[in-house]
Amino acid sequence: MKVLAFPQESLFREVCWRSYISTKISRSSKPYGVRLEYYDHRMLSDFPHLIQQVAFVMFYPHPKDRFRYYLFVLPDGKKSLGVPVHIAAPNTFFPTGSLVVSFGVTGSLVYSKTITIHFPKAYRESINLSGERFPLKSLHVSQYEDLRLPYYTFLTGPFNNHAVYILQLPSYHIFSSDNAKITNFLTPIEFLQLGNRSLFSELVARRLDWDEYLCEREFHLI
Amino acid sequence: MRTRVPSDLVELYYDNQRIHLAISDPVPDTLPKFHLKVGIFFRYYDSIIGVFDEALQLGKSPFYIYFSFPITYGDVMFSLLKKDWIKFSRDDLKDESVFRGKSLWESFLHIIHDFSEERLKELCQGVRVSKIASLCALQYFWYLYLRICKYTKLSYEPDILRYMVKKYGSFFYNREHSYLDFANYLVYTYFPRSIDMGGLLPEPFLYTHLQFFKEIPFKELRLLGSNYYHETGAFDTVVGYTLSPNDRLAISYGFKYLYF
Repeated sequence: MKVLAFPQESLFREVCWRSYISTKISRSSKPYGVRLEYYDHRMLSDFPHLIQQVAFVMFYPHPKDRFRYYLFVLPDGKKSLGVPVHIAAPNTFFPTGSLVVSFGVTGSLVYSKTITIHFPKAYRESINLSGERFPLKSLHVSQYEDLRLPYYTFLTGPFNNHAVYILQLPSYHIFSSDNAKITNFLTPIEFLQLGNRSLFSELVARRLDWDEYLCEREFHLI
Repeated sequence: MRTRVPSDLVELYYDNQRIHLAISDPVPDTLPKFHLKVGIFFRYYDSIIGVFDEALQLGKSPFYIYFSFPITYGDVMFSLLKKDWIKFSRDDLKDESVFRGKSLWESFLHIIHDFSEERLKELCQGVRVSKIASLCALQYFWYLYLRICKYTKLSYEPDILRYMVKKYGSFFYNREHSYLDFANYLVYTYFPRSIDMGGLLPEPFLYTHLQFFKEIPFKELRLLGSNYYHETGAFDTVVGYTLSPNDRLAISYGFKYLYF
């Protein structure tokens, strides 16, 4: 699988990013298009100088309740609040466990126009807290502009060479409203009280924007 | 029920989808609880400035790649009194009692001499956790600067920070993020602008006092925060000590804020 990665220097300063991305824009034959570089994932795994771009896709129950997320119970018993996937090349032959994105560009901001999530095998075989199996192999969302490069959330991986973007989608993409039982969704704090958490999910839950999460609520003293 | 004292760590708890600051009532054991911490990086253009303990005499670590302070009720009271004002003067440099303590509340006991839960409750009423954290961070930042001036003979320039606070309303305006660390601290991390750091710690001073400071380029910092470097012990050869999992978390979570 070929995955999206950027040279580390392009992510060190905004001016470096602008310079890097302008060369990718000029390579595109389409207006407002960009031709990004995708690399063989096997080659990248031990290569610390290219930063791989990874998405963590989470599902919230309702647009008015964006602080709970669908909990996946994986076949090995690990619990996850979302799906980690590499951003992969559009022509990927075997895309399982990837996010294929059609990108647009405004100035130096690269943003998603459409996304297709190909769920990894373990997530396709996962169950929720009600014991029901996850129903999809892949999901296409035709209008999704919230993936914005290079504004990742945090770094992870053995060399800190994975930049993670957190994507949040309403669960109506997966379930009819009748099946989106609220008991299958947990807040990050509730998730962190569970045992056997997936490490990636734990890193996301700890890094969710606590200010944004808390500011919507009135602050109380006892 | 035990009465809270200035040295007690601030206790936060989560209930009914809200974070509460516990002051006077006991917190039920069944609820998730956290403590509060502030972290500060000394960003300097394409690097961060690490500081050896000789420049601070805090005695917590031989070298600081960033600074983190667990917040106590005493720190909260100290920071909320007169809020954004910088409470340290040039005279404090001569006052040894200021440097005997290793935290705000114990260094400035004379300011919080009337500590009481009622007074603290009054000061905290309607103030968000994030605001409390940023006020504590501002005071800790200035306290670090005061200690550096004391132990390295750097010239103390309080007007720079006063100017920044006046101009932006906060020294860390729009340069912060928060997360929950592995020890269950809700951590607010702050990234002062390079231009302000340059005003406080001038480049010629840094490069002529390498016994106190070490510049760590972002390229190196990213790897130092990784598991691989931790497992191989490579960090030991750079600054002489191993980063804890929470230090590495601070780098992995904070990295993007250092340059954007």
